[in-house]
Amino acid sequence: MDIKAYIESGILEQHVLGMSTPQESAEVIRYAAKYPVLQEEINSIEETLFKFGQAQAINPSVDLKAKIISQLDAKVYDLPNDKNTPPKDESTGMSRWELLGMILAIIFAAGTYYFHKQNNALVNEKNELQTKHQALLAQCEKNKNGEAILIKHMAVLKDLNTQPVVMEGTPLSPESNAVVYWNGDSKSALLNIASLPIPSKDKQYQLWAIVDGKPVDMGVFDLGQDIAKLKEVPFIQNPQAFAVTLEPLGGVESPTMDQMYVVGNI
Amino acid sequence: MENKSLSDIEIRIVALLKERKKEAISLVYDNYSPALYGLIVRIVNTRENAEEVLQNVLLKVWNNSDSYDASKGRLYTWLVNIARNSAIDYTRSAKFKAEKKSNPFDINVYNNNEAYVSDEKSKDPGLEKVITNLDVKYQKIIELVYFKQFTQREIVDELNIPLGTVKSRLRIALRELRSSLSGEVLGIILMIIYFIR
Repeated sequence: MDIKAYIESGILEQHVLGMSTPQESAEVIRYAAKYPVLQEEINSIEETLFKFGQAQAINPSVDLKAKIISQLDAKVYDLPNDKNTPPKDESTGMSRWELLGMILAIIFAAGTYYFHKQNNALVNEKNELQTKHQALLAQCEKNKNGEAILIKHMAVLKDLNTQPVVMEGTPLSPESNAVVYWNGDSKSALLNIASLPIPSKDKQYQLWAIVDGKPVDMGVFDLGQDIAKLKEVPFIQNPQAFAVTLEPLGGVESPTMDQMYVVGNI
Repeated sequence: MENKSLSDIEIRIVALLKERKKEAISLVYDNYSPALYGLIVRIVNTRENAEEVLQNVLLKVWNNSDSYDASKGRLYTWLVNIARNSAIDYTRSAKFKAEKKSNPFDINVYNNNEAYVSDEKSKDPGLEKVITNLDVKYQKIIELVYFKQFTQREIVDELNIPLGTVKSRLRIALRELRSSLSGEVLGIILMIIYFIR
């Protein structure tokens, strides 16, 4: 290797002054370890650097030293990874604390956003649950009412004084039947629609009691969805028989005899 | 012998830094702050700015002491490089740029010699003789850079040549000089160039 040319290239000065690339500096150090004359050259350059510094030295203000010493714990600064000779374009980046602060702020913001979203979801869920709860309460109420009615009906059925009056199907509808539970003591009457065909939309079934040979209106009724349930019907005294006819919507004053579906005597 | 005492102090400081003793920074300050301060002030102009930069430099030294590696060079060299980079960083800050805007004349308070601690100015007669042997345009550059301590920008204005030309003339002038001068004086010229803005 041409040591003279290497020295004259100025690479040693560049290395000392931090103007060489990391690769170049590494090379200088390698060669200097190998060739003592290079190390001497480097030493002399460093010596010159030192003398130059001395030659143009200026005293800072007297209070600066104390200021600096007292601040040693306060701040944290970063140097780039490059040892001894920081790269030429060391930019003014963030201090470690600023970076930490920013990271914490981001985490905090992210956390806040997450919790906000979660809160919204929870509120929605709560509202949904409230609605469901109301629905359930309503259903419960309905069930209770239904139960009360059933209990009432059961009482009538179980009562020994209740007379079940089975109405058999007429030739018009032989398969049909229905029952009236009549209780002269408690003055209650229940209708059990056991089996009646579904009427057309313009017709309704009407219940009659035969009293003294004459039909007495006991009201119209629909089959309804609760076919299993009993229907409360008006209490008529001294019935001899019960019958159901199919009439126009709303019912009629006198039964249409050829539209009788079921009939039964007490 | 000066070398010996210099390296003794450096060895002591390095050891104290490794032990994380603040006394290390005190010693750095006592031994090197005027030299560093002088260099910094060349770049950032005012005392106030230079003191701020010097503070930053010493904090960096304290916080990054484990990045100093004796195999790569002297402690002082490491300090100087940190100082120079910090000062240049500072000139890129918004604060500094704003100051420059409001003070375009860019008066460098330290152009006059009274501010310097040392009275010595290297007016080596041998150097002058060698310089006169150079081509005129290189002489002029050396005169402005070394004797009059013009900044690069001032040279651009004075000679009416582009900055790139200033820089390349300096390089060539130095190359010419190197062959005829002792490394020491050449080194001084290099340092000046290194530290001008």
